[in-house]
Amino acid sequence: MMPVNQKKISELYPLIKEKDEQALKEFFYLMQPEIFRFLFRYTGDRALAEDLVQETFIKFWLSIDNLDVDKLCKSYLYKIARNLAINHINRKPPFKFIGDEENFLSLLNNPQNEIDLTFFMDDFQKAINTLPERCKATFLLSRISGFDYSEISEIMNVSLQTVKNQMNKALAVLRKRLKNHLD
Amino acid sequence: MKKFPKHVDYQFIVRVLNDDVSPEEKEFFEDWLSESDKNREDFSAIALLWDKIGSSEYPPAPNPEIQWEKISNAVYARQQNDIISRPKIENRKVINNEPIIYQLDGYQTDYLKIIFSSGMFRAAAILLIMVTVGLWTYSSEFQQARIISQAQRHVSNIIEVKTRKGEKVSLTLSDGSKVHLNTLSKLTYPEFFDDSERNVELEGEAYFSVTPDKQRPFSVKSGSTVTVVRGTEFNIKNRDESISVVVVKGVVDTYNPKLEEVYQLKKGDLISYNEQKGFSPLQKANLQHYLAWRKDKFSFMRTPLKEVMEEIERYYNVNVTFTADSLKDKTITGVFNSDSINNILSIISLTLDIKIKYNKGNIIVDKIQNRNF
Repeated sequence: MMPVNQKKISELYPLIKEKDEQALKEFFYLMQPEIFRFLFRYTGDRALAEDLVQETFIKFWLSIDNLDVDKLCKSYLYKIARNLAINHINRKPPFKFIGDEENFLSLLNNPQNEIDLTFFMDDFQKAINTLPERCKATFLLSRISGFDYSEISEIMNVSLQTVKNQMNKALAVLRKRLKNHLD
Repeated sequence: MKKFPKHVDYQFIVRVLNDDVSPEEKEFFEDWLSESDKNREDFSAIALLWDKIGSSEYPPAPNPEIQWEKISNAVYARQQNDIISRPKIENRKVINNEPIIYQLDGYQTDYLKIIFSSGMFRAAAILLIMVTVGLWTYSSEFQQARIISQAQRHVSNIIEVKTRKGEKVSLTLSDGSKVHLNTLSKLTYPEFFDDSERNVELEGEAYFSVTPDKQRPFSVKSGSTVTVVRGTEFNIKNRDESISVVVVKGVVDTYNPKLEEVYQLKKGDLISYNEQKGFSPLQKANLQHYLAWRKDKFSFMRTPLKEVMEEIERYYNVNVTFTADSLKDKTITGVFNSDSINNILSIISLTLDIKIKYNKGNIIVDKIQNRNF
């Protein structure tokens, strides 16, 4: 899986650096869905993920001045997102909103394979929640956000070997926990 | 020459799945695959897992338009706060006999927004610095003369700073005292204090850090109370007919000019005043509770839900409705970060076992209905 519009994004960098609002907006539109998915899988909480997406871009915008020109805006964005998520997870016990009717109704209207996928995603989320923070972040950056290992090592500020180890660990745990879905 | 792994591990399989292998590696992998049934099973299990996890687009991302609006508003608000809280800013005002109304809303906000959004930001910032430096030089050289001439002419420029919902502002007064103004509050003060006294007026809540000056007492009028200090730090809260003063450092005197008693408060003391009941006896204050707002936190101590929701209404643009009066008396104890309303509402609803619906600026507090009829 190739990250979305890598070329388009790198064309935006110089304009973002100048705080061109139109460029910032375009960058946001391109990046928002994947940052949201990363945060949603990371936190397992939709409302929280929505808040954190906003906060990520606010922080990003306000810190553009400190941004290295050569550094990829994208990995910087993920760094902010991960840090915000870590802070939130540490600060509060996990909780869920009472009742998600929307989710339930959509389940009723879906064909069987999509229902299977919904159940799979539920279990996947539970499995993800059990992973240690670094392991979880590494895995999500790889599979949900499509970064390669060297990019992940830059975002997480760890060695390439650590990324590889974390990936192996994550896959082993997930495979064990999601066994039922793989038959 | 690339090294092949001794055995095919997850990482290698993931690379195969991502098409991130050389032809030689691919060949090596296919050999491994044909070696045993177990290898094939391993591979297909991981491939399936990989595929399922990556294929899901659920849940859909939130509406980007709405989010972008919130993001740009928040960025402007924070940038604006930065600029307004810089101390010398009041010096920009032209001196005349009219009271100066300096509100942080409406027209002013839009004006700042135009500067920021039109790409003139940098130019405006430089201009601002130049103007500030210019005035600073001017005022330090001529301040003495100016104060005298003001005293002679009895010119008093009254400045009024108001904060909007959720907004906090730090101000530095002409004597160097600092005031941190909480949300939905108003501070009225003269541009320059005169030789004998320093008087300000407060609505809402503020934390004061007063520059010591034995010759000129600093007094804060808030509702019917007056608090006089010479150099200290304290917090005054005046909400819903009830006023509380908490002292963090030094000594203050609090009184109502219409009553006789004067209460002397020392570090850690709290006094409350109610328009009907008058002053309550001195108490020891839990400082962390009273100063939580300065750290962007809400602190509640057996606080009725009614008051909790009033506090939330002061910070967020929301309307709260209770479906039953009995809900208003349930009490909450705890410290919350004030940056996410969703978190606060969820925790409250779980703690009190009630239903809180939050949608488009409306909060509805409801009992949990019995689901089994």
